[in-house]
This record gives sequence, structure tokens and C-alpha cells, in this order.
Amino acid sequence: MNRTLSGAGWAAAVCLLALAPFFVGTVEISALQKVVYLAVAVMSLNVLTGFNGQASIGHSAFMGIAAYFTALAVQSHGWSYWAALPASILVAAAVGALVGVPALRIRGMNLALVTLGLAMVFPQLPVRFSAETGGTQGMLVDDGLAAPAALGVADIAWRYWVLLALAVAAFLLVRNLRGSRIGRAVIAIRDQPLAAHTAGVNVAATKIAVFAVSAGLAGLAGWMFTVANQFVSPSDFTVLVSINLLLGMAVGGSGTLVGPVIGAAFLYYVPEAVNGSGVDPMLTPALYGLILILVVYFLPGGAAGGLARISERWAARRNPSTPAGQAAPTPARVP
Amino acid sequence: MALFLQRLIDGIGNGMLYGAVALALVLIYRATGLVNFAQGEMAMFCTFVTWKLADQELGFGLPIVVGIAGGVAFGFLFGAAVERVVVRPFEGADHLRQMIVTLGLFLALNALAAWVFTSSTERLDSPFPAGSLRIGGVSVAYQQLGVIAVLLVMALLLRLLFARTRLGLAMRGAAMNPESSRLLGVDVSRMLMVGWGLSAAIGALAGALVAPTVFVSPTMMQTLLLYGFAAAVLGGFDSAPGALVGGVIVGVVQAMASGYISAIGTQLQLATAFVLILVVLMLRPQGLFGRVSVERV
Repeated sequence: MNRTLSGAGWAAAVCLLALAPFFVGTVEISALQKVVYLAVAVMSLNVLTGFNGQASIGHSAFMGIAAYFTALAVQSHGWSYWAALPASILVAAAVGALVGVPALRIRGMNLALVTLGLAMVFPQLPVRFSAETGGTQGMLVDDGLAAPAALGVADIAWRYWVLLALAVAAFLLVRNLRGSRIGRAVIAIRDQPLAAHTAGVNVAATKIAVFAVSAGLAGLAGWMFTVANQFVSPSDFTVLVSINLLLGMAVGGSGTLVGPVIGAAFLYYVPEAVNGSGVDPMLTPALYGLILILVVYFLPGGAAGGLARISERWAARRNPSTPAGQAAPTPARVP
Repeated sequence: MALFLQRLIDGIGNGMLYGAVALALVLIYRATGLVNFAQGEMAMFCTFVTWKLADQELGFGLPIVVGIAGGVAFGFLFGAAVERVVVRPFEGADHLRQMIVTLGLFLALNALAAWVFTSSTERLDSPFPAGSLRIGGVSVAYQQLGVIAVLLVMALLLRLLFARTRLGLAMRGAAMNPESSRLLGVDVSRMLMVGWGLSAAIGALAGALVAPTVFVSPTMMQTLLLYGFAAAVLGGFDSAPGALVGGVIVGVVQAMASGYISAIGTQLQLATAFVLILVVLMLRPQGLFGRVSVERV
């Protein structure tokens, strides 16, 4: 797709989303809030796995660390949400950098193992320190993020706009990084680690940096989680959540910008649709698992990759001077 | 001293189970280079089959030993079927895609078990007599002794299979050098299927042995899987004896750490597995018994 066209598409979509509070009720707005933080969470994984080819099953833990940090800071220590925002992102990024180090020793599945461990251990922490965190019951945060009085808007609309603005900022950051020198090094490490190394890319430092950025983005999603829900519990950040994020990434299209948005919408609206259709909701994860396997097999580029192929084909038909065979993009590499 | 010995014994008993899970992981890893994240969920599913066969009220009420045999047999067929249907299409794909497929299997089996059987927690009888043997100040439950004995016999049988039979030789060949094995007439794909079957059967046995202590539920194997991973990493991911030794070490470390370090207590026991994985990967990524992989440029 044409660059300006795609830019205009993004701008129009963001404008539409920003206007949503004027047209829909609070139920839809709180649903959209969830989609927004899920999109950031899927994007955080996408930065690591889609662009850099490192696997993580630990992003639920990074989200949880930031979400719990925010909840504890606001509820028990009297911080404001705004003060907790940079702090929670930094904490998640720092843990990410620490966990990323052993992954450098040898390649393969080690990072996945380490992050799996993190994802399994994290939900035990609030249980261990249940005096502060409410244990398995979870903890409520009494004060929400309030709208400035001067604006005269409802708190929920304000929260939604804050989340949307931060998500847009995060996506812009990822977009700009992708086109930069660093971004190309990151992608080169995914596709040809040896060649990247030969070309002077510092593979180890780049990998750790990507891991920290990715964990920090997951931390942003965690902060958003606490702002949106004003409640955290260990069951919100289990290893199954991490697998769902992987699913969202694969379904949407890994290594793309629009993929995480599609993936987040999928993760939120498909279970709703399943519940509405009368199928036993217990089967939703089974359906997820099946979809995940089928997508990796039949549609390795995810929805974004599929759409790109369709539009290429369409463009080739309208403009027959370029043979379809040459116009076809190299298939998106996946996850 | 008695307390120390007691913890040692408990650690070894649990550790043998971790070793069995690690062994199941290693069998698949050695053959295909794939880390099977669904290993625990496959074992959990088979344990539910055992429970269904043996439970007096909700199942068929067969003797527990028959139930376990049924679960293990089911595990073999199930593992082979999973290899053929789910894993085979991704043979030769990159590890990331294979990993995502096993995670899809993880999600699907977890939900299916709850739907097909039950999402509540169920009891499974132990095949071993209740009570315990007292030696000095240390009491060893017959359950623990039984688990250790059964798993040792299993390890011995596997050793015989791989070292003394044509099938075992073919399996080792298929894992080590698929191309040459194919030229010599070994059906490599069939060997992979048998390998997955064996691995799932070992998992089913481990599940049935651990079930009397942790009960049967869709989440029963998740922590055991992490301990299994720790054991496999410690033993070196491609060594079968390493997996068992690694399991025992992980079990003992876990028992000692949660016994003597009060900050860990009972809730954070799982953290010992996580820390072990981290430390081993940092200091000795090839594990205790693994081969150092040399990459040719």
C-alpha cells in the first residue's frame, strides 16, 4: 500500500477512535480501553518476536510487574498515576534486561524457557506477599485516574483518551524505530544473525536493548491495565495470558504495525462472540489453540500478511504492466 | 540431622518425578530439536484418562494399576497421533513456529481436558500401600519408595530399548543423522512418531504417579513442567541420564531451599526452579552432561 495512503488510513482510524466517547456508551468505551491496552501488549511482544525473532512467554509477567507496581504505588503509597507511569515502565524494562542476559549465552529456545519460568513464578509473588497485595483475591485501587476539572469531561472518557494517546505514541515510536538504523539492525539479527554480526551490528547489545524496550512496552500495557480496571489479581497475569498475546500477534500478523491492532481486537471480541453464540465458553481456549496452529500453518503472515497479499494481487490486476509474479512480495516471515 | 535426611528423601522422591518429565522432554528434543511446551498438558490429559478408568464414582472403577496401564497406553497412541497430525506439518520449520504450535497445543489441551473430563480437582488413588517406613528418625512413605522404584525400572527399560534393540538403534540413528538413516532404510518419520509416543507415555506415567499427591486437575502438571525444564536444562538438554540426575538435584535443591530459607517458604518453591534455570544457563549452558554445541560457520 502507498505510504501516504496508509498514513491517512491510520490518521482516520485514530480520529474515529478518539471521537468514540461522543457516540457510544460507557460499556463500549471500557471495552475499547481493553482493546487499546491489549494492542500495546501485543505490540510489545511483536517488537521482540516479530521484528527481532526472540521468543518470549513471559510478557504476562512484565505486564503484571508494572500493573502491580502501579496499583501498590497508587493505593498504598499515595503516588499519582502519572508518577507511576514512567516508574512502572522502567521497572518492567529493567527486569526485562536482566532476564534477557542469559538468553545470549546460546540461541534457540533458552529465552523461551527463562521467560516461561518468569511467567509461572510471577503469579506466586502476590500470593507470597498477600498482606500487601491481597493475595489471590487481588487488590482494588480506590482512586481512578481523574480528568482535569477544567476540561469538564467524564473520567472514563478522559482515561480512554489517555490510553489511546499513549498507545498512539507507542506505535509511532515503534514505527520510527523500525525505519531507523537500529530498527534495521534488529530485523537483520532476526533474518541473518551471522551476516548482521559480520556487518558490524553488536548482536548481544542490540538483543538486550530490544528485550528491555519490549518489556518496557509491556510495562506500559500493565500501567494501562491498572488505569482501566482499577483492580489487579494474580489470575490476570498467568502464563495463559502470555500465550494469548502470542496468539494475538500470530493472528494479526507478526512483524507488522497493524497486526497487533487486529490481534487485540481478535483477543477481545472473539471470546465475546463465542459467549454470545451459545458455545460453552470453556472451549474458547481450545478454539484459540486450534486457530493458533492453523494460522501458523496456513497464514504465516497473519491477517496483515493476508491483506497485503490480496491488495498486491488486486493492484497487479489493475495495472497489468507489472507481472503478478514480480509484484508478489516476499512472504512475510513469521513468528 | 533427621530433619535434613527427611528433606533429602522428600527431595529425591519429588526429583525422580521431575526427572521423568525431563526425560520425556529430552527424548523429543534429541530427536527433533524441538522443546515441547505441551508436554505437561499432554501428561495431564493422559492422567485424566487414568482417572476416568479408575475412579469409582465418576469413572469405570477399574483397579488403579489397570487404569495407569490404560493411561500409559493411551499416552503412547496420543503422542504418536500428535506427532503425525500436529507436529509433522511443521517438520523443518524454524523453531519459533514449532514453539508456537506446541503452545497452541498447550492452550487447546488445557481447555479440552476441562471440557471433556472436569474442571474440578479430583482424587486419584495411589497404587502403593498407605503408611510409611521408619528408619531412624526418618519416615519414607511407601508412595515415595514406589515412585522411585517404578521410575528406576522405567529408566532401565528405556536404556535396554535404546542400547539393545533394533528399534532403539533405529531411533537413535534417526535422531542423530536422519539423512544417513534414511539411506539405510530406516523410516525416520515413523521413528519420530514412536519417539513422541514414548515421550507421552513417560509423561502419562509421571502424571499418574504424581496425581495422588497433587490431585488431578487441568493445571496439575504446570508447575511440574517447569521443574522438568529445570531438570532438563541442568542435565544438558540432550542427555537422558542427565535428565534423571538433573531431576534429583532439582528436587533436593527445592526441598532444601524451601526448608531452610524462610523467605522462599512454600509459596515461592517454584522460584527455585526458575533461579536454577537462570543460573545454569549463565554459568554452564550445556548443562552437566550435555554436549557443547559447536556452530560451523
